[in-house]
Amino acid sequence: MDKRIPVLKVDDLDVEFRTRSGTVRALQNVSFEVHRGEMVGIVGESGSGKSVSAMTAMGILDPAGQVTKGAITLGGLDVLNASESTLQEMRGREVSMIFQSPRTALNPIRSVGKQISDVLRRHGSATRQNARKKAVKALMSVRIPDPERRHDAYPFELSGGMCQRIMIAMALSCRPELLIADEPTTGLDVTTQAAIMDLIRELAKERNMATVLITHDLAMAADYCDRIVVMHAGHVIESAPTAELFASPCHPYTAKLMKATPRGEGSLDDIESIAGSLPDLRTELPPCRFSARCERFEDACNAPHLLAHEATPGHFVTCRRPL
Amino acid sequence: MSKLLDVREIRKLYVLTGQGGSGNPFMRWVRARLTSAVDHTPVLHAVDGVSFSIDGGESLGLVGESGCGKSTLVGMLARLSDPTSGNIDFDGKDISEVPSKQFHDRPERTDIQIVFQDPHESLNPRFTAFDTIAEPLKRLKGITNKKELQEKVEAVAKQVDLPLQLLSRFPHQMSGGQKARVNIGRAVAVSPKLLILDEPTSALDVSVQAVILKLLVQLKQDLGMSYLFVSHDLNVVRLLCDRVIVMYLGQIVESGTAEDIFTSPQHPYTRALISAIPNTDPAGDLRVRLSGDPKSPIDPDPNACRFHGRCPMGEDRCSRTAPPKRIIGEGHYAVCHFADGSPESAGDSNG
Repeated sequence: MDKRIPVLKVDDLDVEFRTRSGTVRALQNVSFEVHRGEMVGIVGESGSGKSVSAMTAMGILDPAGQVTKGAITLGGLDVLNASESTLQEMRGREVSMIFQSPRTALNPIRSVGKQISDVLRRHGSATRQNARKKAVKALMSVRIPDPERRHDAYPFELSGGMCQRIMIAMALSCRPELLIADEPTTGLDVTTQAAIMDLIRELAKERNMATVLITHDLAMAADYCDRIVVMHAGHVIESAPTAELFASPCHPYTAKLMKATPRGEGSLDDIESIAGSLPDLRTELPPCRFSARCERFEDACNAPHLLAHEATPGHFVTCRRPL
Repeated sequence: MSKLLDVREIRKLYVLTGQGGSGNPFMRWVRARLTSAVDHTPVLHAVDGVSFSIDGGESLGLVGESGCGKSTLVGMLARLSDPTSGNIDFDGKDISEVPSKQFHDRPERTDIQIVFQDPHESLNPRFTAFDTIAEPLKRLKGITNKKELQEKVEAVAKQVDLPLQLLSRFPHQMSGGQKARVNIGRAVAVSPKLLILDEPTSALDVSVQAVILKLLVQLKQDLGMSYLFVSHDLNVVRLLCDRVIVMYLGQIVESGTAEDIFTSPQHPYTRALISAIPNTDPAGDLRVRLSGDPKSPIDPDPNACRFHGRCPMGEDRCSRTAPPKRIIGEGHYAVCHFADGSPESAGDSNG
């Protein structure tokens, strides 16, 4: 394993949601690390626990959610045991998040420049006098044309791609160590999507920042990430460097996911869907939550204590019958 | 093959009133008396002179970014809104003259159906799957007999692989893939000749996307429908469509077979679109990237290329003369000064 100290380390995390219709075991034994200057993709279907992992790491989990096991270390800070004021200090400065649908994430009745200034002033990087100058500079850093004028624009006056750039400017204004991008390009056009992802990659490289990209699009993760963590029903089922993962996926689910993603060439017969759907996380589940959908399943798969093992150096898989 | 749908020079313009009271005759009169400003009402060109055709049994892909007029065009073709000018010939008859409000009485209503975007949003939350599929059968086919209706709905459910026990469920009790099936079932229940699919899989997970796409291909074979497939996902378009048209700011900028569009795109916008597709095998940095936002569709300059300003190849003449339509090959044309192809000969307007 990597000797360096990771920026974000999620270790053996369990998260549950208490709901009226039962306890949802949203995450189980989730572990992953993100290092400086690295972009890690978390990939999975909707409901697989991607966003819950990210939100727990930021300490913004819904009150109904409870961490029942595990630890999260972010830049040396124990997130789960930190006080709310420490967390508030940390958010924005150490770690920032970009959400999907930027238009809803921005305040509709405050000019975008002011919203960036708010972040800067909250963390003491700007005073009332120089806030505007710094906000304009932040807008410039995300390649917004005519930043002086855009500073006074409201979100409704800007296009979706432009709003997402504002979100990025805001998230990066205090130079965080870690950026979590939760489906940053959902709802944007392909051309805008490419531009936004290029921008995130470029800025991350420039600042030697750690980045987590949460996406359901395996192709996009492949394109931009150094390492990919595949999640299924609240489990991390495989994690490996991108090239390695695509060259030899070990978990049957990863392989299926790749087959289900349409590629440029080939015909419809080359893509296959994945049978079944995610299991109901409120019910008692077998150790391997993919077992009901898996073709390689046999009885030994559901012996207790299913843990991740290292298939090749740096390539972890949680499966008893890997490919 | 005969043309099922033939669209000629269709336009949808929205006159923008309410800006400084320009739509109000009294305010206009006041302004004319008090100022010497030229009276001008801004006009938004949502769809601006689009012509194309769909043959029987063909799938046509329609791609372009949001705001380029895809949905406006789809709305007009489905006869949910009226074009400002232009003709829509469907099965040999001009249907553009019938006002959209009266179109539901026309026999063509059953022939043109639409599968709306996002099955989570477009199903009536208070209708069970059965009600949703039964509705067009009742309204358009006039089936009132309960037993007959039941049989019909079950037949449709079988066609779209929807388990019969799900028919009594409400949308919130179904998964995304199941809702997509109901949505498709509702549209194909009246056996249309043309099915318009507005981003049918964009709200679905990849794991179910493949089944839905295969279902669509199967249905097309079984029912002999034509498809107009609107999508952001170019990989999906490539899998499903015979021909593709690319729209930019209300106009078609390139049209050709799916193979031509994806292997030898001529218009710089098409190139940018194709190189924006995330790729599982990173091919290096030969990619075309666009900067900036599209121009405003309000009062566009008729003597300039609408892509000028964002175009990586743009030069002076692009801002002075509207680009010509150039024929590149059999059924492949691009509207660009730089496309290498012969200029369109007079009289040949269908590319």
